[in-house]
Amino acid sequence: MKNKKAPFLFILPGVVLIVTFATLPILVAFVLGFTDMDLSGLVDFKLINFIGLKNYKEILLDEAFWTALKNTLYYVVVGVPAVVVLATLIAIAINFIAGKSEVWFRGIYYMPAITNIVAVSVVWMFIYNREFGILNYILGLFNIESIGWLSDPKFAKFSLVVLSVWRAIGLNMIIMLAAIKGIPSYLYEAANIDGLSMIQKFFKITVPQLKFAIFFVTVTTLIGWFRFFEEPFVMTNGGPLDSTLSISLYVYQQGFSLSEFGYASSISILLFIIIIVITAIQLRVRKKQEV
Amino acid sequence: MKKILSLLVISILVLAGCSSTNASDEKVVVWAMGNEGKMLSSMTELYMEEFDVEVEVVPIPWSEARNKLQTAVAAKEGPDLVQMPSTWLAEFSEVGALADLSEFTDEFANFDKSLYFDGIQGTMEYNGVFTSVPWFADASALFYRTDLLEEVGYTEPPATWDEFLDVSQKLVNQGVTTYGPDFYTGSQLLSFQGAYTNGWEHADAEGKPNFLDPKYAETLEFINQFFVQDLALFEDEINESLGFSTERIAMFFSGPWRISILENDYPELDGKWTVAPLPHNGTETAAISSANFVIWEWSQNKKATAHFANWMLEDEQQVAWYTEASVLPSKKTAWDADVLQNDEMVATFGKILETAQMPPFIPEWETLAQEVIKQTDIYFYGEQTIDETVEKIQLDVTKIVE
Repeated sequence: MKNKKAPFLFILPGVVLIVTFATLPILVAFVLGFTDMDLSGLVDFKLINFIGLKNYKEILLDEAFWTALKNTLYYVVVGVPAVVVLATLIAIAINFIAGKSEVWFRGIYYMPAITNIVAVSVVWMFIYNREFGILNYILGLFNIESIGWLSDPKFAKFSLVVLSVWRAIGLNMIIMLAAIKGIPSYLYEAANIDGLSMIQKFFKITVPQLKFAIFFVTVTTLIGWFRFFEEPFVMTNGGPLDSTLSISLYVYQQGFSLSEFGYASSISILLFIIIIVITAIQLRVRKKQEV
Repeated sequence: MKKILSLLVISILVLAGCSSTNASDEKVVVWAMGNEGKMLSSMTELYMEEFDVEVEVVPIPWSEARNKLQTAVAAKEGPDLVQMPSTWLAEFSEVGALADLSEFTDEFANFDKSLYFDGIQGTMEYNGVFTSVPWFADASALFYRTDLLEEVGYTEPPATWDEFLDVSQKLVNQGVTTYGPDFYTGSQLLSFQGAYTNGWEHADAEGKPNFLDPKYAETLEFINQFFVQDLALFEDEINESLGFSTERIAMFFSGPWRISILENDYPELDGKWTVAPLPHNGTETAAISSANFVIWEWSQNKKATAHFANWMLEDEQQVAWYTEASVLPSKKTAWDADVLQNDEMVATFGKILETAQMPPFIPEWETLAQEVIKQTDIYFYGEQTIDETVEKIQLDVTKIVE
């Protein structure tokens, strides 16, 4: 009983970091969301006025916000399943390869995840470039008219999703691969004795055993896509015609480009609530499944 | 439990303490943006040799510039001298982040309004307070391929809108280039500088936004017909220099910094291109902007900072800086130098600066410009009519300004 303090001391560094860099800023943002803080408010706190729910009322009437919300939902709905399915399939495929080449393939698929987004964006800008890009060059070989991958509002969102899926697969593939390696081999041995086919083994053993890993990957990926920011920030800056604007990017634009800190805070709080609610729902569903 | 709490408090204090290191009083810290940030140390070295004062250049990428300045405002410390684009000056002046320079006017000769181009004199004061001095000026000119234009019968650059449209049609119809010009529609100044050449004033007689003036709508319609007739791409995709060299475009609008890029990266184009004033529709007025020196309100070292700024603004340094960074001197007298007079292209820019006009000098400029880009984009994409566009801009800008 004497040692009750010890566990607290162990978690202290982590708690301090989270409180200073996560909890406190969220609380500050929550308060700022009810103010009209702008650049002058930074100089003199006395110039900040509490304006109640005015920011939130304005958001409801803000067309750009609704566009950003719709775009973000598109990113989530298209991006999350793509990442989860592709990461799982690639992990399974890599698991089939034994020996040294497995290390190579793991490395290759992980590479995009550790490459700097700015470097990535330069390369992809050229791939997507309407006049000089390789994608349109290939289309040209089949006599298909060139497409403005990043400049046509119909395609820009999709182009960013492709890029982002490509970036996200690496990390999630590693998680799935670890989970696959953790499936006890006696399960497959028993299945072999019972004479199950490959497909049966996949659906009856692999998928159920991977349930938790898939759940984990889904939750983290979902949160990640709700906060989709880097790709539109470096590639399109939300354009053309706001077609790639995500909520996070909109927060950034309002806050840092236009110095509307109060308004930006209230949008970020809304995003925070959306993510919390959706994650809570997922945890609920997961619990029910387990029972 | 108390111990844990006090530990927590201490660690927060330690973390907070890390950020508040301050430069010594003897050092002048200069925040220079983008390209200038990379090159400025060549000038400061000369200064340090001469005056034995330490000047530290902190290069700041443009993508982070606003962010850094906001943080410096919040922290009430940071740089001594800042390179600030003229379009941000009003905003930062208004919040009191820029020091009043009037105490230095007697001592330092270059802190004098009349020395600078007429178009940028207005940037030096905001609400009657003298807060900045223009370091260098910027304006757009028409870059064009002389050889390609000659092929369609233009030995002189297109001087008017009609000629500009005509030469574009000829270039495309005769298959000389894929497109005529390139318009960078993401530019904050595109519609402003276009409308200025059409005799438009951005404020009406009462000083209110003037976007309902038919001259503004005419400008947008003029630009839009290039897109409608497939004479230009309305996207920003063509890398202008690359498009220029591969003969996809024959003309584009850009600032003086582009000259050295074209000279260095595309030597094969040597002698095949030059610059001309913007095509006009009655008024030869371009839009001017500048990069100004401002002294940070919270600088502990204002006098030494002013001394360095004043030195940078001497004619000799203005010309040296032009040679180094290919940006245009803001001071009229600096233009007497031979290097500037003998270079035909630079001299063209010099002429443009003499009559150029400044876009609205207001704290809300950034918001205003984003709104204008947004609405004109919607129009160029064909999603709203010209009447809807100008009405929307007028309405929103009026709201922003108020």
